[in-house]
Amino acid sequence: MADAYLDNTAGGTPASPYNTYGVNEAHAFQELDLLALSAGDTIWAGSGHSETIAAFVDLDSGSGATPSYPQKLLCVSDPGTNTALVNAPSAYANAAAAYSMRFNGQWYVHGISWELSANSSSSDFIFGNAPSGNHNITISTSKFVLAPNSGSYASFGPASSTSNDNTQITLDSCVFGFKHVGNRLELRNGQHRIHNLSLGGGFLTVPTTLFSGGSGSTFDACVENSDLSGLLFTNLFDATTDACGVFTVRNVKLPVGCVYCAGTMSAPGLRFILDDCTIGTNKVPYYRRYYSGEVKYESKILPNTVSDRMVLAGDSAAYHSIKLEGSANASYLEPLYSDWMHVAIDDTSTAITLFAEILVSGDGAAALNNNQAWIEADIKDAPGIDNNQAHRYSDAPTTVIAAASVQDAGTISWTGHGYSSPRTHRLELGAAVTPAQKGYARVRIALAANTSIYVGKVGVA
Amino acid sequence: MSIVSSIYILDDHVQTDGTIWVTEHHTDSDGVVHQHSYQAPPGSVAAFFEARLSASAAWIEGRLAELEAERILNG
Repeated sequence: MADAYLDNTAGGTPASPYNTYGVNEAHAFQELDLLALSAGDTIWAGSGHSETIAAFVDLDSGSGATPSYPQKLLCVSDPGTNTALVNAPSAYANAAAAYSMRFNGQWYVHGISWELSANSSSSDFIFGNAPSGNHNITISTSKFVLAPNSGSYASFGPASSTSNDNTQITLDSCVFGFKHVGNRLELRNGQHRIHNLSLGGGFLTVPTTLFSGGSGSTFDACVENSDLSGLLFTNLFDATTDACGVFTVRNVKLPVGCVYCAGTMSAPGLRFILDDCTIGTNKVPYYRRYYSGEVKYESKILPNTVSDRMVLAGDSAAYHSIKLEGSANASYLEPLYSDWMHVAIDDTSTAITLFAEILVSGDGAAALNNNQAWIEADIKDAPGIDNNQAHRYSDAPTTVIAAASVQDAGTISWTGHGYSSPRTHRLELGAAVTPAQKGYARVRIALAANTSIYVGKVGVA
Repeated sequence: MSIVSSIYILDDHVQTDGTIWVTEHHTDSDGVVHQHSYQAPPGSVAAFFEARLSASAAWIEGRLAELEAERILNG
């Protein structure tokens, strides 16, 4: 492993002290595209470094790199000692022609401001470009400004999956700026973790859509602890692309009125999960979008009796019902599920059953059958202290061709709906089960109809 | 492919914080309904919903065109 030095603050030659390092002088570079690297090298960039490149920038760690020895590109505030990283994007690299900036292999990058300036759909940032290699790339405290072209994206992971792809992209405290409304962040193959993301960075163009899935890609992506309210984009995520994976948005400040998950999903492999976010001054405790429908936080339509209501964890005054809105794709074989809910089991001597009280949306709504809405529970009923296996129970018909029956009427009243003829049901396991293990049983509600229900109470009887 | 009609549907009640769920239905020339929803801020009026609907229709139309081109290019 060796050190390399990147600085052309003086213009034309590496700036001091990189030009006076004696034996290291041979390793002083003026441009990123000129770097000649070996696995595990560290590139020290001066905070005043500024370059305009007329070539592809391929930061390629080489096949010899391992997670233990990533190549590092670090912008330091004091290049004389290289002891302190900058605390804001500082060194500047600009691709002025129709080129991309691409990161491959094992990298840790800190403190660089990257910009694409050419009006070209070929100018992209690609984190993990090569389609037949593994990537583990972490980038912190850096800025990325996309090109003024609708086809200019920041792409996470390679575009096409191969048997060798195993990609993890981590961005920490980075900012993205945009120069065209069509710019977006594209989630492609791999696992992507984005923490403390912000938008703008001095560029006022607002992208219509912030994130989309890459066509044919499979990903597990997460954006957390971020303030995305700086630009009033229309759509947080575009669901129309034929991608497969999970996109989770957690603890994020969103612009008012944005669509969380826009467009139509083409298949059940794509899942959108949003937790603990805000729009303006309003909280969005949770939201889900699946092929089979949407799951929404409902604060107005609730069980009438306070003790029957569910509360959000950590806020005993935040009453809510879970609204399940089944899409036209919701069916017995592809139902819309609520999240799993945990019910404490402290008694292994008594048979129990689990139930949920629901309200069907709409005044005078038709009754639901047990192949349209049902409860499922995972209960650890296998004896033996070393046996932690649970079995799944349900009040749905046992098979897709078994006859359905009307669900029982609800046993609680509801408020906030304004219906003169509310339709309620009590979903309950068909037979009592004796738990063999203390701990938690898991419960969820399934909706297999193009209608909506409110889940107001889940419990043990 | 174009969007031939767009409507928005307001939830029949506002949430306790004043927001309201809005569902948009955009029907394309093949008769496929593209649906998504959002939470409008407290006090939103018709002009907000209509502007939002118009923006969504334009966006969906653009995306459908992109996807169609992608399908043609990729066979």
